[in-house]
Amino acid sequence: MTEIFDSSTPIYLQLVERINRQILRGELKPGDKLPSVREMGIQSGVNPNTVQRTYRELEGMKIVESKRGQGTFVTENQKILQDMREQLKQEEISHFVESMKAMGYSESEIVNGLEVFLSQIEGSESE
Amino acid sequence: MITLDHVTKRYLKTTALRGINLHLETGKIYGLIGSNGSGKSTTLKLIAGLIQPTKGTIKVEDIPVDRRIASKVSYLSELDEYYGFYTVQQTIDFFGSQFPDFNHEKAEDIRQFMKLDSESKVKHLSKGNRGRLKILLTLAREVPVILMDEPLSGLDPMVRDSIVKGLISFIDLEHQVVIITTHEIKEVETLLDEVIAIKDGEIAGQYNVDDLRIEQNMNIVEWMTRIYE
Amino acid sequence: MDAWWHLFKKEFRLGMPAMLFTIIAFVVIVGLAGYFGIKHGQGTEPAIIAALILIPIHVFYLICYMFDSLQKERKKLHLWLHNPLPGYSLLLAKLVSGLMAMTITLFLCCVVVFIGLNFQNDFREIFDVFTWPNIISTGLFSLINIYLLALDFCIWFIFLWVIYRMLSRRLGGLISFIISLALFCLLVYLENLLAKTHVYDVLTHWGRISIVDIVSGFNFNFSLDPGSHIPADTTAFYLGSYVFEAIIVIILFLISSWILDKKIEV
Repeated sequence: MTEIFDSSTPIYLQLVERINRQILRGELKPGDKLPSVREMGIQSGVNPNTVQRTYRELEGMKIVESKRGQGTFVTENQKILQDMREQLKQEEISHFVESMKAMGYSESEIVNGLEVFLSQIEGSESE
Repeated sequence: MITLDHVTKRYLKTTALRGINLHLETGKIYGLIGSNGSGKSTTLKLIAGLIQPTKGTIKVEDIPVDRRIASKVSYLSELDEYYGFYTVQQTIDFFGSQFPDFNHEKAEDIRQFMKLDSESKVKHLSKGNRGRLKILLTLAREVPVILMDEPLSGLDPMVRDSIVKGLISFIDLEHQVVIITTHEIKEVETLLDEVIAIKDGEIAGQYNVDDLRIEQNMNIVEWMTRIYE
Repeated sequence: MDAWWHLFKKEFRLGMPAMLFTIIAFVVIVGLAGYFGIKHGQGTEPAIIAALILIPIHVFYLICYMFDSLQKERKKLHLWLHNPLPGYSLLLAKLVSGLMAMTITLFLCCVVVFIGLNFQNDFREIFDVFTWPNIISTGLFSLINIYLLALDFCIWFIFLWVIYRMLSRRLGGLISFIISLALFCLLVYLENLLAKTHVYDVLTHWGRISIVDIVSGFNFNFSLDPGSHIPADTTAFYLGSYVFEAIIVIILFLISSWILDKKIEV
């Protein structure tokens, strides 16, 4: 089935994020070749032009490199991948914190809540 | 590529289009959206030269269109009438013989992708498979302009999915422009570059799909709902 | 040419039911005539006469065939007209496939008559008056005229059909039908008016073909006394009038093709 995209962010940015996550999870490793534009379009049910835009964006972020006549590859530059990893972490945390604050939680409540939550997960995992 | 210049189309009792201007370029997939009777189908038929404007001019590659623009335009009708006595393969062969740009290998690839049985009689095909056959015949041509009138209408989600994927797989955006009319906006949203809304025979707006999201923070459905409010 | 050939094959396939219908009708009519003829002791004579009557009816074959073919195309105009071939090609494909279909039943009729003349004793008297060359030349002359008339009717029909189709999207079905009919009557009236003028005579009265010549096996020895006047229009045709009619029909056909390309709406 064609994948579902949420409706407020541009599709190409959602694809960028999706590929970034695949890299973080190790589904795409440094030096791996990305699917061709058409291939990616078919996989995700997205217009090839949009995929093109996604790849351009990723290239701008230096996360991928396109080699002439060979295709697009995940960068082998560990620093860039580390930075991306760090950046995504920051983004995700800032999202979380913003929405917690918007609901009126104090900073200490957030930190506290997180610690308790994480220790519970650890507890359930070690069982 | 395709230009509509102050095009008005009146029928016996209704006015379908009121002086519209459009300019469509190679390399893009356009979605023509709007409610029933808004003028979507009329626009496509005009570009295909199958009807004539009451006023204004329509050009494809700078040539004023008439019926014989069929040499540059592949038109998929919303009707699914075919010659019932043919099998799928005979239909493909007949179409192939009529259009010099018809690519038989591509047709065979699409047929396999769509899982159409070449020996089935066209009159015995299910609605879904007739829809697939239409797509096949339209996309197998190496033609500058592809027009599709409601390619997904009345088909179940499985068929729609295979058609959307078929479109992405077999359109050659380096050399083609595709115009799709639809009211199943959700299904085709990710497929489109540009969306053109028609309301009461006039262009209500034209946007790049991602720009619409960036600038208006809306997807096409939300945008349409606002236009039609 | 290849595209046209495939189009022609499609048209022939499209017209197949109509063609089979006429062949079956032929078998039934001639068969019934034969059956009752034999039953009532008249031999095969009624069957032969039936076939003989069916031959001139073929002047209406093409017009019916074309009506059927266009009727079948009515819901598929977006397929038929979405084609890079010029309008005359599209129409010719239908016309030629119609002529093929027509030839089949016409041939069957002729075979029955031919066999009948050979083997039915009752018809032997004919040979007291006519010789085989007479019969063949008369037959050929009639067949040519049947084809020409059939084409003439058919192209008039195509012309009126495209006029009707062109107008119907703009004016509605009924008014368009009336206008087409009125146009037909007007054109026929004008043609008749023209045929009575001196200009027409000058233009067309050449290439005289006498029926008597044909019946007597193109025996040109047959001479008329300069004094004895046999009305020309009852015993003779002019090649000129054929050419004149052919020109009119070709003009109608070209106009039809142009309208088909430029003015028909699906």
